[in-house]
Amino acid sequence: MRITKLLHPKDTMTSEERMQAAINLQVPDRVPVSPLIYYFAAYYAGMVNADLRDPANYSRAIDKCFNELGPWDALYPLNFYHAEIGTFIFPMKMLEPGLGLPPDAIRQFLEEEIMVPEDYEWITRACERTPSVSYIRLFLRWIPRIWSHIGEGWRSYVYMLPRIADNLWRWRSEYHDWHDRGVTQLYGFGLEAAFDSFSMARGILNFSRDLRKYPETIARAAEEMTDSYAFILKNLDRFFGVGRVVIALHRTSNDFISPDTFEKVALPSLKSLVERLKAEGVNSVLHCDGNWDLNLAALRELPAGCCVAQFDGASDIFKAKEIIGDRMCIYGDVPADLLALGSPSEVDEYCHRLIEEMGKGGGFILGSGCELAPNARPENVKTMMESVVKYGYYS
Amino acid sequence: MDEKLVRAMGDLDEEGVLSSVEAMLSAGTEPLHIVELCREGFEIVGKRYETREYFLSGLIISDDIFENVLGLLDRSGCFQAVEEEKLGKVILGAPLGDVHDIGKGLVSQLLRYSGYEVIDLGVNVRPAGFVEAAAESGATVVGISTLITVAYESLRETVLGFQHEGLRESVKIMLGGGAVSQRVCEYAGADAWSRDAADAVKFTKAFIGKE
Repeated sequence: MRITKLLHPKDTMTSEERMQAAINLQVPDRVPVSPLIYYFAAYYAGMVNADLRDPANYSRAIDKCFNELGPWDALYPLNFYHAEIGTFIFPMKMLEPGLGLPPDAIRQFLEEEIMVPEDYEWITRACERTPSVSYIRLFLRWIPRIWSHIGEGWRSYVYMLPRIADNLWRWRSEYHDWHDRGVTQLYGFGLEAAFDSFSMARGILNFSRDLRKYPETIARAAEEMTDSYAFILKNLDRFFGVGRVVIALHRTSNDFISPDTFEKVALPSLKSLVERLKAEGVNSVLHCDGNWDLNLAALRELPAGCCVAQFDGASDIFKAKEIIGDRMCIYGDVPADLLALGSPSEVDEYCHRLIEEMGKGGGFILGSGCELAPNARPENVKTMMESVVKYGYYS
Repeated sequence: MDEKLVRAMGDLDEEGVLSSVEAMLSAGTEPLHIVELCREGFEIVGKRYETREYFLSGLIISDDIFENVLGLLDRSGCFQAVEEEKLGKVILGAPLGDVHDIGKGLVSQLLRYSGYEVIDLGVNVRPAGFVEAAAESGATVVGISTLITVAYESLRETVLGFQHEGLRESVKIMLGGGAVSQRVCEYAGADAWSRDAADAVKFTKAFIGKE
């Protein structure tokens, strides 16, 4: 990607150079900032959330945020123009604004069984026969179970593939527009890690039982999916030309599993995937939702200098800096409740602390804890964005 | 035998639990006594969850084991539901706009096994729904669990609803879930908050004053 424009007068690096320096654990010119903004954009622009599925509305809303509250260094895209695309990344039944929920509601997930126990064996067979595309086949097997209007077999292909293509081309066009404004993007494409996909698709109750009955089967199936995950992520990232992907880890925190289960069942396939991507020159942004405090030491097993660990406010991010800060870039974690209910001075104080302590020596990206709260106070969002200019320069 | 059953339940040893229950039934042990021992075992599970020796999956497995015990008692033909004296009533629900129920389900399980009657209102509960349920049931503790920040207003309205109905003094309100914090607790005007399901039992014990 070609980005030449600088975002602030004191900047000496482009946004992409700054992000790369942080991820490589080097010291950039200043701390980069990348908030995950989606529903907030609708609230701020006076729209309802369902409006964001229209590309023109999304552009208007996100542009208003950028122009009035930004700039930010890296766009964190989460805009699915077809609701079903979201389930490619989060394989669960979901209620969308305007589709099962009021148009001003936010997306919510239902814990229902999408993946049946027999699917573990199906995965093994699929990975033997079609290793590169086994996740796509698995998704198309699951999607009629998620969306009742989508048929099985070839019908799911006919329904989904044009929509996936449409969304991918739209994203690519949008990213080019952002580059012209001097903004890079956090990642090219993302997927939920295999272990986490199984947890979501089985439902947490079923999956907890699976973990007790046959952890080896889960670990094996997750490992078998690595070829497909690496293939999809690498190629879609190349399509977007970023060099970074997101691996979402919504079900791997200690809110769900023990550190022992993490190390023995979830980590091996995650490590394989990160290593495969690294070999292809692709860095991994690990979206670590929930409390990861007891998993942090195990994250040291991942290769150094190619990962970003993103925390949402539930983990002790300062402890994370101590334990893994020499191995991976850390990203976060202005909490949702602070942005929604706190004052600008409280936000300023927390961002200052993050920049001083987390940003010390580089390897830090400032961001909201997971998605920026839809009901965040705009003045708080602006304070967060401005904090990298106020406190974030290294020289 | 009693100690063996309690230990097996605490260790999530399903085989050990079921074999102990079968042996006790053969020996003519009262089913209610067996249930009570299982509950003692659950206390161990709850403590281990609290100290992060067990995690979510441990709680789910303990629930499964207990369901199997109840099934065994039922099949043996000797189990008759006996109304135990409850320590108090607790109302649980997810607020308006929130359809997540896993965390609430865990709190419900922990409270039930700690001896409290739980009235679960489900998800997407309007503020007046909590107030009406408390007024009808006489519950003195209300737990509201949420994962979404846009529910903050609904939490606040719920607490205000109790004030308007003159029930605020007699009902304690606790908040749980990933979206709550001290700041949210103060904003809503609730009495306590935690992101940890086990804390709901501690709060309830403190509120009701009975163990």
